[in-house]
Amino acid sequence: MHLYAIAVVSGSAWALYFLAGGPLMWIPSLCTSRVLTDLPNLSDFRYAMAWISPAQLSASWMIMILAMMLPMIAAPLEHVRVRSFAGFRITNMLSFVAGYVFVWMLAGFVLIGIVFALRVSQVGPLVSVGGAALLTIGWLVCPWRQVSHNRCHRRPSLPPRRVAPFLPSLKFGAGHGVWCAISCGPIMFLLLLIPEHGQGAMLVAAMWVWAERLEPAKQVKFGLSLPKRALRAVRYYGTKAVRRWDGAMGSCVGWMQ
Amino acid sequence: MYVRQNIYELGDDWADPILWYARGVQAMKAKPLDEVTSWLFYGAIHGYLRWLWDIQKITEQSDPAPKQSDFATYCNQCQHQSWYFLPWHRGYLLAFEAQIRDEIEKLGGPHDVWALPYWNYFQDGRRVIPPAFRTKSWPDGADDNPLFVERRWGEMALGPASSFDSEVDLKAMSDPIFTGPGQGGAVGFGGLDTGFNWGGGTSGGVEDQPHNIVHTLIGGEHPTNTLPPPNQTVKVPGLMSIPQTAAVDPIFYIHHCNIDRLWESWNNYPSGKPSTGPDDWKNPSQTKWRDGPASIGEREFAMPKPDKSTWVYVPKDMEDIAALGYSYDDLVPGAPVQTNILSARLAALGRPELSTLAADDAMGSETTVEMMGSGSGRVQLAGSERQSSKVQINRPSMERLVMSLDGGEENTETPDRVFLNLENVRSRSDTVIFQVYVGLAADAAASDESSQLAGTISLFGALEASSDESEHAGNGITYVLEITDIVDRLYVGQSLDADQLDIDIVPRGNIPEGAGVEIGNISLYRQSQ
Repeated sequence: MHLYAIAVVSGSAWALYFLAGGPLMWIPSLCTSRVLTDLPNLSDFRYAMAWISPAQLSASWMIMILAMMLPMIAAPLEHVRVRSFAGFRITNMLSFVAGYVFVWMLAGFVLIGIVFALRVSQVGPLVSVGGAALLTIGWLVCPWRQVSHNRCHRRPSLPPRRVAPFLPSLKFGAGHGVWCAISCGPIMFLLLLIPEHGQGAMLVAAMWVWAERLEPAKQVKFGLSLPKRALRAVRYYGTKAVRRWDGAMGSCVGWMQ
Repeated sequence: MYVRQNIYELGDDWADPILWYARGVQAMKAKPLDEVTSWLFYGAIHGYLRWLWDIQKITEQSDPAPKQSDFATYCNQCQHQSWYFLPWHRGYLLAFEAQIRDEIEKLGGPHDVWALPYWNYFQDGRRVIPPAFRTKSWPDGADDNPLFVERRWGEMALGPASSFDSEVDLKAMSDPIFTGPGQGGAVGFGGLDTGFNWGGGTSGGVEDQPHNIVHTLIGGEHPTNTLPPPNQTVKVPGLMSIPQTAAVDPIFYIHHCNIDRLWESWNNYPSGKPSTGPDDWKNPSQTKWRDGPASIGEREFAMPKPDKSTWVYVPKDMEDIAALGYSYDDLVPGAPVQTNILSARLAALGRPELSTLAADDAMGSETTVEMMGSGSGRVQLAGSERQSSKVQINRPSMERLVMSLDGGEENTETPDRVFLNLENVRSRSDTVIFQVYVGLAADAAASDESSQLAGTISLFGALEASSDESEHAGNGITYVLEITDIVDRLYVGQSLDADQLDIDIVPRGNIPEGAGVEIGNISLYRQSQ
């Protein structure tokens, strides 16, 4: 049930995001990176805030988070469902999502604040995007990132509290959000700085973080952790499809002869 | 056809199959670890933890490690807490036997008939490892018997295990479903649906009992010596006590041969055993099980062949032992196994036998599992004293359970089953064993109340599962104990408390504080269908 909900919410966020750049151009830039880069040259923060509303900025950040991050919480949400009394399942799952999204919104304030600061300081795109790209690459190979990835696989016990039964789920959601934001924050920061081809970049980034999350926890060490499981799945199903295609072509040729 | 025989019924302590096993093991032991057909490499296929291997003197620090490509293909592959537990280990035994047979052939022995013997420890007088594994000497007096391992300190290695009957059981053999719904409910005979799972998660039925507990009862731990820092609070475990060292003890394969026999017995013995559903006593039919973890993009099951080429297999290849060219001389499990539990339950609850129609309805209905009670969180286990805990019950859930147990004439539903979950059990020691009792009176001695015993837990595999860097990020192992019979009795005796359930945990021996044994939470589940 919650899988459908995730698919609908995340799918809608993706649709809104893509359509906002095309048929729904009338929606004022609903992508955070565009919201930020469509601004004229900024000389100070107050001037910037005259052009852009915090509500719009928050909404567009929320859309990015719902589109990209929601599919990654299917497994912990299932854990919350299983470890809840039947009458509290929905409340607890919503509490988990609330805690998770709240942390990501806080992370958004920090990341968008840095982007603002870069723009106000008139840092050129080459420097800012190049710097963020280097930072992201450095983070991807850093052992601490593996630590945060591993923590995203934690599924703690959630004994319900008498007074506020939802509290353990809220705490779990917030904690999960913290490790998720630490793990994926630099990638999101890079996305905020790429105005051109932002949609493609966001899609690629989403595919990468989804594929990465399929990997189990691993030994903490320096180096890029490739999404081997996703790659093996692609190879397995790719080979199967090719074989099926070859078989179909073979029987087709045989029939023609 | 290779026939696997009862090791205690071969006629002699050093009967031919044992003697040639020892010779094969010795030949494999002569090869270095970095050779894929060596004894140590076969051990590493199951599990490899170099620091522990060095401490346990399995390897010297200077010994070369397995080659990187071989390591990636073969090592750390054993499947635990998974529905692949049985098929993976069957393939492992087949590959191992082929290797031993190859060595026997080179030695001019009976390679065309040799097969691994099994050890049925459920038979009276056979609760200790076979004599050939307990002596340093060969039959001719030479003192380098490769079947002998010093690092076995458990009761089943040192002498007949006196507490075997109260600690080891075959309850899993009564469960007609291979893979249960999980989610706190039944795990099934063969374990839960997982991907490639080296360890951590929820243990399956036959894996928990008798597999895990027998491992620990053989391996045990050194009476005094402890591991070096940072694990100085943990006693040195016997080789069989930890998955990463278990397969370098020759008794491992004899024990697993019996576990494999139990799988065959569960499938086929006795023929025509009663079933209540189309999936009873059958292996999973899902593609994900049949085609193995590679079908979902995970590691494939791979073993080295005697010619050092790679044999890749999938669970569906392992289903039919006869098609693989093997049989067992006896499929009697060894302890009483109740196979018609539903009828017995209905009788105990004072309910009439379900009509065929109602049973059919039950078969078609969807299984639902819900949490119906929870403890207040972490329970730390230390010392040798019994520890009490309480599970607070959710009233609406209890009402649903009672309604399903109710013996009213109109009730044609199958009564719910009840399960106790010991969630996220973490430990720095795999050798810990404890028993879990339900509804024990405060002044009652646990040993006198075997009817209140929910189960015996061995923490085999807990060290790895508790590591932050393990596949499951240190979530530990979750144990699911069926307590349907206990709850039924409490209900019939009108002593089922609607608000709470008393749980008592009785350690076997002393659990040192340094072992860091903790249960994340104790919870209660009902499963309807």
